[in-house]
Amino acid sequence: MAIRRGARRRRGHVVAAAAAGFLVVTAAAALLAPWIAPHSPTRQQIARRLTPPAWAGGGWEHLLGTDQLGRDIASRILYGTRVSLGVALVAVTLAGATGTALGVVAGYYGGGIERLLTRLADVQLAFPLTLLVITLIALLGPGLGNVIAAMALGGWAAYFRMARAQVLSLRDAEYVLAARCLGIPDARIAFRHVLPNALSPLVVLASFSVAQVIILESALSFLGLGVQPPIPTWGAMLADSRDYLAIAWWLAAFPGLALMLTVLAINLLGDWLRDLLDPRLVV
Amino acid sequence: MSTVQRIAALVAFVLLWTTLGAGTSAPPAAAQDPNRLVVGIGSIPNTPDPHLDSTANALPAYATLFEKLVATDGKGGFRGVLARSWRQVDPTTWEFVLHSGVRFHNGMSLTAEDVKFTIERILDPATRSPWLGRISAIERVEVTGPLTFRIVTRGPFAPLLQGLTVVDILPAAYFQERGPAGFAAAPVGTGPFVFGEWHRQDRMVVRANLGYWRGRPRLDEVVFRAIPEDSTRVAGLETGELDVGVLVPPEQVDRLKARGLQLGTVNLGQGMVVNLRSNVPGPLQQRKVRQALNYAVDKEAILQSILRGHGRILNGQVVGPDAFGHNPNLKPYPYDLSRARRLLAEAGLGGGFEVTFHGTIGRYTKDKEIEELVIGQLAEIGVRARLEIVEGGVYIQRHIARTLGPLWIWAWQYFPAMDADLPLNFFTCAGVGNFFCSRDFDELFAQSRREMDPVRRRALLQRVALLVREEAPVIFLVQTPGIYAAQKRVKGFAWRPDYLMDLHRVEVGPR
Amino acid sequence: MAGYVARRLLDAALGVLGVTTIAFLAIRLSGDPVALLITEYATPEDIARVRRTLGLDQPLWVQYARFLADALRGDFGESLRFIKPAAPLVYSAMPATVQLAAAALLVALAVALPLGMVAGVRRGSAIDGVAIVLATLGQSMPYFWLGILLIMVFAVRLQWLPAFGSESWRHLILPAVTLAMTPMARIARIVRSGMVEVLTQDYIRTAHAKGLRASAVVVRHAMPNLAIPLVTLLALDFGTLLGGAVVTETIFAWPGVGRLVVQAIQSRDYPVVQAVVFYLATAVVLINLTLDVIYARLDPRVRYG
Repeated sequence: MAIRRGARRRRGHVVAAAAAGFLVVTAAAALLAPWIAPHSPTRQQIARRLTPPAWAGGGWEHLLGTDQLGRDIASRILYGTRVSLGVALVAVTLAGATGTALGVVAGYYGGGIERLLTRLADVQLAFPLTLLVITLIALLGPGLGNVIAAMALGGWAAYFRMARAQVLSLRDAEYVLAARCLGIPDARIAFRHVLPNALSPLVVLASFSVAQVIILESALSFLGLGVQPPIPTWGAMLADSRDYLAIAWWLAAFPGLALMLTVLAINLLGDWLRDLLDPRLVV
Repeated sequence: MSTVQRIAALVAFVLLWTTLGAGTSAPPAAAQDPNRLVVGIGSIPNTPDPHLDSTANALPAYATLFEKLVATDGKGGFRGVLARSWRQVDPTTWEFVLHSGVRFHNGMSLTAEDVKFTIERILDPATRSPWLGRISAIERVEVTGPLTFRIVTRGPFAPLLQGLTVVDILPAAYFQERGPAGFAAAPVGTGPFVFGEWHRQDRMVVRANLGYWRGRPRLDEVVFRAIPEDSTRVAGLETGELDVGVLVPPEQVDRLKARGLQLGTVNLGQGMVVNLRSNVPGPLQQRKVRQALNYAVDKEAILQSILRGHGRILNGQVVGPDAFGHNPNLKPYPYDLSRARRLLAEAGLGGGFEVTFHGTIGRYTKDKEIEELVIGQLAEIGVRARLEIVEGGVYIQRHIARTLGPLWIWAWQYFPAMDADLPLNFFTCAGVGNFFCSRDFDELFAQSRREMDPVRRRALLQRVALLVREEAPVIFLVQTPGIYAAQKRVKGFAWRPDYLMDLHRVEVGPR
Repeated sequence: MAGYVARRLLDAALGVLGVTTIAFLAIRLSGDPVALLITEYATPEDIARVRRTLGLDQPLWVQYARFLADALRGDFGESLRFIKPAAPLVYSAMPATVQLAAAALLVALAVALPLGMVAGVRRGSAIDGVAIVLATLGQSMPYFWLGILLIMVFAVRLQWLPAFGSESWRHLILPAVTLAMTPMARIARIVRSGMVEVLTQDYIRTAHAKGLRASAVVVRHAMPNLAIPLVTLLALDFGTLLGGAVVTETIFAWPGVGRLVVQAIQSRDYPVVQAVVFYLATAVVLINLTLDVIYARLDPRVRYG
């Protein structure tokens, strides 16, 4: 039994390692885009529009073919990785940091602040994230910064709620009481001693959010509310490709593949993390 | 059974019940019935009341139920629809005679009182009719007999008939009896079809008007389906769920043809341009810069590569040859980069400049790709345009508030009147949302509005067009194509430059 | 219990008030709806007149007071786009979306329950790996993308199902499957991890030891324990589903709330937006309240705190 369980766990590790490996490669590609991209992602060569990928007769100049304006798809995907992943990471970090900080404060101190923030979070969680983000973008206007801001604003409440719940369950733990008796300042206790022990579900939540935000960005592009063109994002490339599905499959296939594999890898990694840290977690 | 099981059962029951039962109603409106035409279009009217929605997509559906006094004849003139004849009594007074024997769908005869009521309703600000601006020059309507009336304008106003091409005549007595909400629930007009059903954001159904005064239509029923997504509309054509679909993306044409559908393209009365804000300080104040931008854009590339040959290059004016006042002697700005660079250098901007370009996604045919292409081409002469997409809902608002630009994509609509007066009105110094100001232009344009003789008015508008080409207040691009497809069994369908469809004569054969 | 419910109801009312107020302010700050009502051919005087008839020339707080007074009577004003009272407009759009969401949840449950159970029972096996990857794959595709693909394959290529519309149950299948993907993956995960946890409990081992068949153990003993997290998830997914409905309804020309509200937001049709926000917030708050009360009944450890 014990041996078999070990084998299973190892298999889980293998999947997670593969996912992590894929993500590392993706991230590296994103970071190195300016050096490894064969072309500028925005350079148009209208005469070479809709060139098929190299193995489908398009020639090696454009490995994955060109899009409807003759831009190199491989380069656009590489640069798109930067934007799509970047948007997701920044938005989730902002949302996570804000939500967690507020949650720790609310959970540790309680009182009026807690009631106010909890009410605010409840109000916000009553609203579907997609609708909230669409509304915020209607207010702020589309664009890279605004998309990030809208997603961060729309996302903090989940972290707040979870962080607060975690801190509430730890607030009266013996080591916290001990720290308090030693006269350590509250803020230090809250962030140095309580938070690290409450962190694991938050990390799991964040990993799933990254995937969710990438998908959400593509929905925004579909609705015409996403990051400004000509900046490439996977979502925008996919949204633009839908008129060309029947005549130029490569416009949709490669950004779609990049997006799906990345989101899949993130989700699998999140699963693994959760299994490792706390299998009962509902995220 | 435990509580848990009861709850699980309850959840399952509720889900099943809502899935199967509590849904939508209505019999399937598929394209099976041989005498029913199903038309796929981006949206249907927001309300069956034709005075309250001016969206282009609403116009074909309204035109099945309602009729106007006059319509354009496709040759720069007008033909009577409900009006049998008209003449001008003096510079501010027009006299109309209605056809006799025209009946509304409820059996009432059309009289001059109905016309008076209709025009006054649109002019009443409380109605909130989007058409108000088109006929606001009308001061009053005087009924002079059962079928005769006079329209009096505030000052001489040449484009009166143009304004009347948007005015759907409603039955006064019926409307007053029902009230606006009652009328919208059961609208009545004089058109070839009578109202059937209207389902918000879904479909509008009209049925043959057997007593139509110009003979009953050949179809028994027309269903307008609101399908916002282009690829879904094309799929509906491929599966046969739609008999007719409009605004087909240019890339899909070959595929639909291969499937045996009939395809047609009409150049819609809508000139796509990049507006240039030249009435505020900046590089665009110089005419040479505006001209340079025109030389720098390859219109042919837009037409051939993005629109795949559908549409028509604007030859240095905002309207096409289908508009009254079009100047056939003008040439488009050729694509000439060295000339563009020279002009920029002469303007002291040899190094180019940075500028904001406001664009849209999905507002106009292929708008995003055209924006990206134009920006890529401007970069060739050192004009670094930064694209900012503005959400569709606020685009007109920002245009009017003058917060777009200095460069922004725009399509100047001139349907249904098909007259250059309509767009040019906005190039005056006092125009709504104005972005360009020239005394010469204003003077010439005002003259055209006072000129009652069509021949002289046309000549004046052509002189205006020449002036506009030289001043280059916009980058002239293309007249946008309206591509449509119809199943083989559909006979006699055509989409018109004024966005309307002659469904009266359409026939549908057996599948 | 009654006191607890009363306090929660008060909280709920305050929450709804808060949401509606924020929505009111946000919409008013986001731009002037009048320009959307008239063509570009309207003169400034026309615009001013329309503004007066709508009361938009009043100070913001007057507009707000009027809005609240009307909203309390269920009157959110007239839709600027549809020229009809906003509240009934929203009501009339709800059945279509509820139907779509319910069908999506059914599809999700029908696939995810067995998938998650098998994966959980055979944890670590190849089946488990395939099940989880499959479930996750569905979640990794944008709705619009999946929807278009389904149309291309099942409507255009195979001609099995209609491409758009909402007339019959056949029209429901493709949009429901599109919308089902996200909850499917989440449900499969929950079921799987719930299974794993339950199967290691002592009473399950006892049941096994008593000689009960494995399937009987799963159905009779393990499933009931999954009910609570599952119901929670279904309730939470209500919001996710509505978000997904925005895109799904657009693709499939489904005349529901999602499309109504997105277009309302984009065209600044604020009476409709406010009505949707109000009903949505009320629904979510009531669902949460019901859940909490159910938990309290199911699990004596939950106190009416």
